[in-house]
This record gives sequence, structure tokens and C-alpha cells, in this order.
Amino acid sequence: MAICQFFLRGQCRFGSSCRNEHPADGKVGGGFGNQSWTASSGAGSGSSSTSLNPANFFTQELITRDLNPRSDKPLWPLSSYGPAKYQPTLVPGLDESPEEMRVKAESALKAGNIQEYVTFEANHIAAADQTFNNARSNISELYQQAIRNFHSSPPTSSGFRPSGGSPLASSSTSAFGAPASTSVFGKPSGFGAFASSGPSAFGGAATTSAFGKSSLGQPSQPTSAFGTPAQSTSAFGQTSAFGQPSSTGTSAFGQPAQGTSVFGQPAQGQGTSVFGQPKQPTSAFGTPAQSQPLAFGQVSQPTSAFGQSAFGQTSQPQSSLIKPATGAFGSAAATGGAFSSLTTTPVPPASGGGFSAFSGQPSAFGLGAAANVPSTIATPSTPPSVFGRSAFGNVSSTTTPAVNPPSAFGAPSAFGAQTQTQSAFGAPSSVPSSGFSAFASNAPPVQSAFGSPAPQAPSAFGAPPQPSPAQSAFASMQIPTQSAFSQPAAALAPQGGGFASGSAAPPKPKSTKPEFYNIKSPYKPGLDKYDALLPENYLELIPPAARKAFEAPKFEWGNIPEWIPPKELR
Amino acid sequence: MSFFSGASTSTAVSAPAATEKDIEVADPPTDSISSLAFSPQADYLAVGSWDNNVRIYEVGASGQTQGKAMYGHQGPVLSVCWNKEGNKILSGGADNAGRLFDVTTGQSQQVAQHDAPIKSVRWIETPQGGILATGSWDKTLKYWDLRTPNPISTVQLPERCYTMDVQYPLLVVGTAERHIQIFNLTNPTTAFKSMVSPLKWQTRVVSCFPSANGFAVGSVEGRVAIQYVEDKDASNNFSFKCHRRDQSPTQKDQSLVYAVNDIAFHPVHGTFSTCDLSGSDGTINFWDKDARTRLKNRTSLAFEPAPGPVPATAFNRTGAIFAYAVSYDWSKGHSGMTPGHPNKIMLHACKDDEVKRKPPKR
Repeated sequence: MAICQFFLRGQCRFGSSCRNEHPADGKVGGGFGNQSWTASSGAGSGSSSTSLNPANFFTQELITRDLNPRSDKPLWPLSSYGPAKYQPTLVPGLDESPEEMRVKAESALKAGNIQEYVTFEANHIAAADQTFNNARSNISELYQQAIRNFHSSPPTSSGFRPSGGSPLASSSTSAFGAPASTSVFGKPSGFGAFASSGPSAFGGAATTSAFGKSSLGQPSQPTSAFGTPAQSTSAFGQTSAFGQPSSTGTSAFGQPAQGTSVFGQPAQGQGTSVFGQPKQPTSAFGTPAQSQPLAFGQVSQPTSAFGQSAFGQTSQPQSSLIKPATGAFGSAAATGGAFSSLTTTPVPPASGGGFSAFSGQPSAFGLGAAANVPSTIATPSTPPSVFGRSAFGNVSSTTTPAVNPPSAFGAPSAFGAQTQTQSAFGAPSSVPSSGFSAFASNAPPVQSAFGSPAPQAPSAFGAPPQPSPAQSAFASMQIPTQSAFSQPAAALAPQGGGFASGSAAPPKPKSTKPEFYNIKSPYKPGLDKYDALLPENYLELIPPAARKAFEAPKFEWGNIPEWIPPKELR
Repeated sequence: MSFFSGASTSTAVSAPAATEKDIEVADPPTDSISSLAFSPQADYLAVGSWDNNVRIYEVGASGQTQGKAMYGHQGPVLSVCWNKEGNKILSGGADNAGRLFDVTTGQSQQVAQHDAPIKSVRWIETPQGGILATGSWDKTLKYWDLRTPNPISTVQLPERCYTMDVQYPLLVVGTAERHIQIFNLTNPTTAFKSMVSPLKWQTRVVSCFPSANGFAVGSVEGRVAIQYVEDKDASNNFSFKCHRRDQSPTQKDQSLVYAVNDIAFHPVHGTFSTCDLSGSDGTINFWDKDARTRLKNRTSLAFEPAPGPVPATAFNRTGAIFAYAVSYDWSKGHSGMTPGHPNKIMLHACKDDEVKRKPPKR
């Protein structure tokens, strides 16, 4: 079956009834999340969803099929071959057009030595066949070469942006580090591919953990998500994978502010681990809704760590980060609140923050990472979640910053892994549709990951009550379950971000479930344009049962009113 | 350069255009046909063939054809085209020469020279006058002013020229090794854009849109790519598969991959046809690139499959007549050159539903 592209992005609407294949993460894409990224060995298959990732243009399987005379190879034998559109020729030197051959034949005919031509033609065809046979038996090498070509002449023109390091560049040069060695993220496909082998995205070789601090732990992880091949700088901080070449350790996420965890939280204290020290109440991500500018929790913050810079800017593959889905974010159970703050406030950057909110939740991002991340949170097109994941991922893992740092990004749940469950993010399958939306529920237009409570049920966060310690809270949601947050959200429909509804979860990161009850309501009078449409005496209009439900500290399961929550009670 | 006139009477085949059958052109060339071109002013068809000759036919209102003239090269003719006034025919061939045939005088003369066979000739009508462009296997593209024996300029191509098309001011050249060069004829000596083909295999044909903002590329892999020149239109680029057949009736694997030999755009509607070679029969399809659909398959209705490969096609100036050649195109090499191979040119009266875009369904 064909691999479901939407699923890879976490946006499959069919879920298990989808007619395409939903590979468990780690299998598709050759284990993007897999630490050992071996680019070759067919890792290319299962193109990641990032754009400008060579895997988007060609994969090893595709090449195999192309060269197979029983499937896609043309009948005309004397032709050069390139792996994808606009790609330079991979099997060069073979081109002969039928006319050329015929002209030779005609002249041979005239000269009377037609037999000579016949042998010439036969030889030519045999040589071509031989070349292709060789190619077929060395598909992986061919593929490597194709990747190299891809990098050296990134697809431009015709709408291609110069693609930088496609992680797929196998072999040692981790995609991220490769060609440009500049921030993995700098190049659009950088993250997507977490290229195989070796240097993990986050600066793999380099010690500096992606998040600005090696805190993520294993700086030298060979395969940190961001792979920067040996670039010491972790993807995030250094060479700004995210496109910000800022080599200063500033977290990749675009915030040059060093030390400040990527997530915008100016250094929460630890070295800015992007992921906000798991334990910290204000963990990078979510800093309990308190003002933390970090995008995550504070929707309003313009730059949720992830939302803005890193992700937003680079608009990179975003999803790639998510791919590993390792619940980067999920792990931190602590911050439950982070997300809660998400409510309302359009989260554009916040979307990334959205994840932060979850930072407490282990998989908040993890889920997102799997698929949705890109869209929802970051809106800016970066999968803010990526970081979210990592950040969170760490968190969950025991809050040790060092926790698989690399995983956040590419490592199969770098964070998540540690904590074992793949945090919400890690659960690729579940995420499909904006799992994250759980939080976002507010304004539908908001980057949905969080925002769309309605559509995507799975919101990672959806299950507030289950943070399930190890697993990312979000992960547990497993998509189908309505995201914990979505619950209230469901009732709320457009307005009021899911979280807002009635529960003001305290921002403080709790290691258990996010407590939405005490979240300050994000409701502000003029924020939601639909508010004004509510009739004045709406509070009176809604049936008493609904009103009672609204007034209760939290909704009962199965008893969520289907009315728009009255403004007063948000 | 012998005149053809006495040879045949008109009406190769039953004439009534109303019939569903395509009309065969009388006195076709004796060897494979390499290219077809209709005059932009009248219904004259020039046919270049591997028998070293270019033949000119007059096509009557009901489809009858009459040979009008013929002239020869020293080698097989690979490409023909008309000038804008319709009084001159340009042709290029494997004798490395480009020749001009003046219809009014009936004389031909050599006007272009390359170091290798000329694969493609095109007439460019610039505001300053007419220029002949020739693309050759010697990896050059030359522009000629017919009055002087030397080219106005020569452009180096990355590889041998396999195909070329012009729609002022757009000129597109497809070469070996999948290179494509786009020229803006206001600056004809430098490539405006140089790119690698959007298709994976050898480029077989390029053809410009009548609106000159893009072109179609056909390759040996049974695929066509629609490519816009401007980056801003790049999102409209797409490619599609065509001309594939299953290996056997039971295996639906579409594994017989035929080359797209020629692409011709309908001058009015902007839809286009593709034709392919085939071992046993050739097929022609009509497509609408904006709706991204196929309009007509040759195998249905009036268009029965040709009994052989179709190497060349052309629309007349109004788009009412569609001509296609049936002859061996060397797709199977020498071994495919069986003596009994047909060599003919068919004329098809285009019905609206075949070539016109379908209005979008609401």
C-alpha cells in the first residue's frame, strides 16, 4: 500500500480506516527518529514530509522502481536518468536519440556496412543495459550519489528553494551538517531528513546540545535530530539549525538569546535548555502560563520559543523535527499548565508554545511532532513542536536535561525515549491530525494544532487527566480520544480555546495532569469576534443544565454542554 | 526538386470529412516521416522524411490532398518548418545542412550549415525580420539571416540539441542529458534560463504553449511535464504519465513505457496532443493542460489506433485539421525496421469535443 502522506504529517483524517499505510514511526522514513539514522540502506524511503528534503523528491524505492524494466523504465534503452524533476542526471552519458541511431544506420547502409551498424547498436544497447544493471544492484550507492547531487545543486528555479542540507545526505555528513554545514535548519529540508547516520541534528558531534545547551544531553550524540554533522553546535543553538546561522549558542529557535532556552524562556535557569528544564515550573515550555513569554504557554507571547524563531523563521521542515516523534515534549509532565494558557490568544507563535504548555505533558509535542506539528503550532510553518518536543521530551524524561537531547529533534523521541513512552509526540500514529489542537482550540484559524479542538480530536493534550507520567500526556491521547482539552473545547467550539473553558489550569507545571481548573481564563472582551454576537442575556438563555456545567469547576465527562460558553464563565 | 504534380490525383481516400475515418495523404514518402508542418497561411502541409525529401501537399477543404512539390537534401530530413508568410519552407537534415525552399519559385538553396546533423529548425518572426534558428547535434544553436551565408550568432548548448520549439518570444531547446534551455528572443544569444528537465529520462520533445508562457516536455518514459517559464507560475507546473501499457492483459503494471514522440498544441484552444510510438500500434491523445484532463483518446470514436508508431503530428493553422504520420521511428533500433512497415500521413478533422476544453463542471 502506499504510505499515507497525511499520516506522516500527522494530518490523516481517516486514521485507522485510512486506505493507505500508516507505518509506525521509526519504520517509515527509515526511522527518522532513529538515532542511528543510517541514511543508506533504504532509509530514504518514506520520504519525510518536509519540503526540500531530498526524500520528497526521490527515494531509494523510487529509484529502484524507475530503473526496473518491469515497472517504470522506458523501453528506449539509450537514455540517461535523473532521479527526480530538476535533478541532475544520475546516470549520465547514455543519451542517444532514436534519430541519431538511425542516421548512423542510414550512413552505414549507404556505405554498405550495415552489419557494422548493427553490431554498434547492439553494443550500445548492451552497454546501457549493463549500466542499468549495475545501477540496480547498487541502488543504495546510486541513491547516495543522488543525494549528493541534490545537495550540490539544490533544486532551484521552478519554485524550488535552494535546499540546503538535506539530511538525507547520507554518509557521515549529516544532512544538517552537510553541504552548508550551516544550521541544519537553515536549509529547508534540513530537518526533514535527519539524515541518517551520524551526526545528529543537533549538532551531533558537537557537544552543544541543540538547545543551546548541551543540556539536552548528549551533545555528541551521533545522531541528534539536527544532525549537524559534527558541527558542534547543536542544531538549535549553534548554527542555528533553524536557519539562523547564529552560531552563538543561541538556541536554534531563533532566539539568539543564548541561554534562553529556545523556547523563549530566557534561560530558565538551566542553561537554557530549550526544553525548559523539565521540572521547572516554568519549564521552557510552558512556564505555567505565567507570563512566560515563551510562546508556549503564553499565547500572547509573540515568540514562543518555538513559535517564533526557530520555527517560525525557518519554516523549515518543521515536521521533520517532529518526526522522531519522540515525545520530546511529552515527557515533561510537569508543566501541565503550560498549555492551558494557550487558550485564547491567538497563538501564532504560540502555537509552538502550545506545546510548551504541554511541556509538562510528555507528549504534547511528541504527538505533534509526529504529524501535526508543523501546521498547527507553529503556523509559521515551522513545526514549533519540534522544539516542543525536544524540550519537552527532555522534560519528561526525568527532567534531566541531558536526556536524550538529540532525540527531540530527530531522535526517535529523544526525549520521549528516555522517558520511555514516547511521549505524546512520539506517538506518530496518534497524532495525525492536529493532536495538538487540543490546546489551540481557540480561534480556529489559529494554528491549529492546538487550536482546533474540533476537527482533530486527537489533540494531544486532550487528555488532561491523563498525563500518565511516563507517557506524554498527549501521547496517551492517542488521537482518537478527544484531546483532553478538546473536551471542553468541543463544547466551546469556536471560542474560548479549549482550555479556557472553565478551567483555569494553573500554569505551574505539575508533574501530573495538567490542571486546567485554575487556569486564568484567557478571555478578554474584545478578543474573540464572535463574542459580540452572543446575545446579551446569553447567560440566561442557556439552559440551566448547561449553565451549571459551565459554572462547575470542570466539566464532567460526557456532559459537556454544547453551547457556547458564556463570556462570564470562561 | 522534381515537381510532383502529375503524379497523383487528389483524394487519397474517400473524402467526406464527415466520416469517422481519417484520411490518408496521397503519395506519402517512401521512408519514415520525421516531421510535419502546416503553413501558417494556407492549408499546405510540408513533410520531411528519411528518404531525403521534403514533400509539400495541398490539403483541400474536404480533406483531399494533392502533392504539390518536392525537394531533396543529401541526407534524411529531420525537421521542416514554414516562414510566417507561408512562402518559404525551411528544412534541416542529416546532411548537416539547412535548406530553404521558395514555394513561389520552386527553387531550393542551402542556407545553413552545421558540423553535425540539424535536428530542428524553426522560423522566428522578430520585429526586425525573420530569422531561422537551427539546433544541431553539434551542440550549437545558430541563428541565420537568410541573406547572409554566416550565422548571425551561435549559441553553445550544453549537449546535443534534440528538440526545439519557438513561440515568439519564447524559444525552448531540449538537449541530451536532460538539459533544457529557455531563451528570450529579445536576447537570443544568452539562455534566459537553463534547467534540468523535470522528467527523469531522455527528453524527446518540447513544445511551447501558444500563449508563450510555458512549454510542454515529453520524454522517453511516457511522461509529459507542463512547465511554466516564470517562477511565479511555477506552482502550476505538473507532469503526468501517458502512453504506457500493461505488459500483458493480466498484469496491470503499466510497465511498457513508450516514448512521447511529439507534442502539438492546438493553436486556438490551447489544448495539445501527444503521440507516441509503439510496437504494435501508436496512440494519440488530446489533453487539456489547464483542466489537467485528457480530452480524447485515439482509441475511441474517430481515432482508431494507428497501425504503427506515430513520430510526428501537427495542427493546421486553424486547428481544424490534425495531421499525424505513421511510420517507424526507430524505437526498437534496427531490428524494428521491418520492410512491411507503413509510411503514411493521416489527416483528421478535429471535432470540437476532441480538442476543445471542457467547461468546468459546476
